Amino acid sequence: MSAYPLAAAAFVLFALAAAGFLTCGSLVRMLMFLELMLNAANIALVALGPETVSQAYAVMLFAIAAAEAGVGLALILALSSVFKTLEPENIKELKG
Amino acid sequence: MEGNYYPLLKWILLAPLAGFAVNGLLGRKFLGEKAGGVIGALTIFISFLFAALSFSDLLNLPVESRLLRDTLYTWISAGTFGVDAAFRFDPLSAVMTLIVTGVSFLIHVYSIGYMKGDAGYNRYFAYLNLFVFFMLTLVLADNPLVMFVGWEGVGLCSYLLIGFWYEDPEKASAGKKAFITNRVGDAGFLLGLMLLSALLAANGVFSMDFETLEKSAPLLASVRVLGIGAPTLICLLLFFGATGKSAQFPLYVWLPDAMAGPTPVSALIHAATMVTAGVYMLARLHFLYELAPRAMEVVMLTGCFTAFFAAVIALLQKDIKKVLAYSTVSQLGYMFMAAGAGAFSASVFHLATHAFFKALLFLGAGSVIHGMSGEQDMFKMGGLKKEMPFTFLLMAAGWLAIAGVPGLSGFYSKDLILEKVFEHGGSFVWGAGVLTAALTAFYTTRLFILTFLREKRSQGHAHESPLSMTLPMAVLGLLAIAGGFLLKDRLFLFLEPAAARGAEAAPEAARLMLISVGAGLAGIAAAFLLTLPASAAALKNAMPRIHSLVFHKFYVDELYGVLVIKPLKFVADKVMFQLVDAGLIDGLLVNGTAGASYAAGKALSRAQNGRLDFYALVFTIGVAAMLFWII
Amino acid sequence: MIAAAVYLFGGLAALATLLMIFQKNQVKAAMLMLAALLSTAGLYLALSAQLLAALQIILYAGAIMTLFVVALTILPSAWRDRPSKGRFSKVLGLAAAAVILTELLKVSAILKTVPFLREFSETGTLDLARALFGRFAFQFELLSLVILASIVAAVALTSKRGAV
Repeated sequence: MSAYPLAAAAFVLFALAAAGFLTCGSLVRMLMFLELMLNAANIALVALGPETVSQAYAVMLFAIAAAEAGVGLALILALSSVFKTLEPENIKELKG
Repeated sequence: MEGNYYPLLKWILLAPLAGFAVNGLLGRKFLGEKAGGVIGALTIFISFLFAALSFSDLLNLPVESRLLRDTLYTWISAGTFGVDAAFRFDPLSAVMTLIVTGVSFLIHVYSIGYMKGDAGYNRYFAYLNLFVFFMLTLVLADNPLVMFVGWEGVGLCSYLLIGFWYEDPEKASAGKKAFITNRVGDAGFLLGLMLLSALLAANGVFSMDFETLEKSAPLLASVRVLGIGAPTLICLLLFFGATGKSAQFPLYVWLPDAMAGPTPVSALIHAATMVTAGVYMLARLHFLYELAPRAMEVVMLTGCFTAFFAAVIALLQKDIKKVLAYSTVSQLGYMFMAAGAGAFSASVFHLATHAFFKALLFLGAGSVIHGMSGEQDMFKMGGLKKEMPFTFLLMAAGWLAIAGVPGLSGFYSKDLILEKVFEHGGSFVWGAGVLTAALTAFYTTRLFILTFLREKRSQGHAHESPLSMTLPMAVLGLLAIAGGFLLKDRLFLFLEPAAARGAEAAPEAARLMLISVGAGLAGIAAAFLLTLPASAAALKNAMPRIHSLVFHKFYVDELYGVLVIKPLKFVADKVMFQLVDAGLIDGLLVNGTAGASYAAGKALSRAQNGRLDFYALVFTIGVAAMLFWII
Repeated sequence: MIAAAVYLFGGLAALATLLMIFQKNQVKAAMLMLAALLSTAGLYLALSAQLLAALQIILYAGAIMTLFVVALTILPSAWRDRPSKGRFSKVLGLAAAAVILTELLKVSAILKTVPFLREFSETGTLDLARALFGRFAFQFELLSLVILASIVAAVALTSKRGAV
């Protein structure tokens, strides 16, 4: 088997997650899709790189993902108390 | 270059210019009336003296090389095209300069008395001096471009002087009319000049002074432009300019209106000098016209028609100055008739005698108006013979001169013109000329009768004019009486020494002379008869419609108003102003660009709506586009 | 064999993500995400990265997922029905994603010629440890700083201070 199906799998996952990111209507959802995008990138890294090195980087990416999820959710918590809504369409403070 | 270097020439010009500067800058406050008037007249006298000196120096030269020149500076130097501010003094210029400075001086002296008490006294003399400066530039020019400077300048001064009493809107618009009509003609003149210069340059001739033009004019004889021979086209264009300046049909309409200016102005500008600029131009460029016989025909026929047409209108005018104005148009027609028939010297001769008697008539009319405290309607005058005897005598001299009574100046010049026209133009044109002569005699006699003879129709007492006014008139009277006789042969020898005058005592010539004199006398007699109130009324009732047509000047002004002025006003207002200026430039270009920037800004600001998902969408689209483009 | 596993787990993950796009219920969406993450773990197993599979389950499915569910619980506004976005922007989003996918696939077409020779084997955990704490020790330590920073940030963002 060539490396193509692996790459394809990773890219398909990324595209699907991106599509979801752009068409969902809640901030939390967006964050979930964001994590899935990062996950897809991780897969690509593991599947296509040299063995040990790519796995090492993948471990680091796990940590980064976790940190990002934490900070993102904290942000959403803070935002929700200010805007009283979580739909990005209605958060228009920076309009103009 | 040919011609002797003669530095005095520029001082003939610069004296009037200095007068203009002094009177213009210092004016009423610093100079006062009396000094202003004296300075104005003095500068012209100096000019006249210099002109006389130059004339005598010219006479001392041998006949073939009578030419004095002076170059002030290089005016234009653009590649191969070069023009100098240069002056020439040859017999033609000499005649013109002496007439201009001489008659101007007399009229300046007259004005000292006429304009006394006027609020713009010094301004008047400044303008008058400026006018003389420009006129001298015109006649002393060595190339057509300097002549054109003078040409335009006299138009400008004419405008300034016609609209001298500018607070009266009618008078101001008369000035505008004169200037604009002149400009229409000048457009033709300029086109002719440009064509001439371009065609000559195409043939390798680059300098434009009259010497070179005369030598290289034959080069253009075979060139054709737009299907017409080049000389013909150039001459027609230049003649169009002359119709504007010298008040021929179709551009004569400004001259009767120009009577709104002070009477000495009418005498100087619109009788003796400016209107003769066209004739001078033709005489100066005679070599070009001799190459274009068709153009000369047009000139002759236009002159003939104008002479007759204006004489007819003058028959029924009420205002004394308007009669004289149409008379000027008519007499200028005579000059153009002569020029068109090839007799350029004859036209210059008539120019000279006309300057004398027409200026005299105008000054006399001014004296009458001055004595009648501003009244200009002839039907309100009458019987002034007793109250203004001096003016009466001098006006009689002018009247007899213009009517062509034998022995006076007008007789010689008019008779000569008719003779030449018969020779070269045929009997139809000659017949029209004779008829016009009869009409001339008629209307001038009518003017004289209504003003001076018969019973007095006005109230009050008319006072005779002061010496400052009657003395110049007396000098002009002498010239009007004796000038023709004195100048007759000498002028021709002076102007055209090469062309020997043929046997003048041909029986043909004598017969023609008899007929034209007879016509003049018949006109005088008819005027005595037909101006009796009874016969005038009978004539008017017999032909009411023709009478009305002639009295209203054939409605030419109204015709121009409808054909030319109304469409132009429409274009200027509706098209140019509303459409182009306000709509296109203001609306579309200026406000439009502002509006477009605003709209563009507004449209682009929609991209900044503060929404996170929208930003993400745009971001992704950007990435997709980049990838698409790269891969 | 590995190919089959790849197709299986990859397909599962893709299916889960796809369903997640159209899912309206928040909790069900979270569950689908869990499914996707677990499939990814399976994928790692197929690629002989057993440690990574374990870490995936522990960290992604275990920590991050839990965090999401907890956040859903805390945020009452997350339960409300969301209005559907404009159709046009949805289409645009899908189109952009599709374009990106196409391009990426075009690029990776070159990989068709590269054979995937890794056989199913044990994880070289020792080698991995040697790499992490040897060659990439600096990055590893930096990671701890990153985590620290995120902790501080999270606490700072959500604590009720006077001026926020």
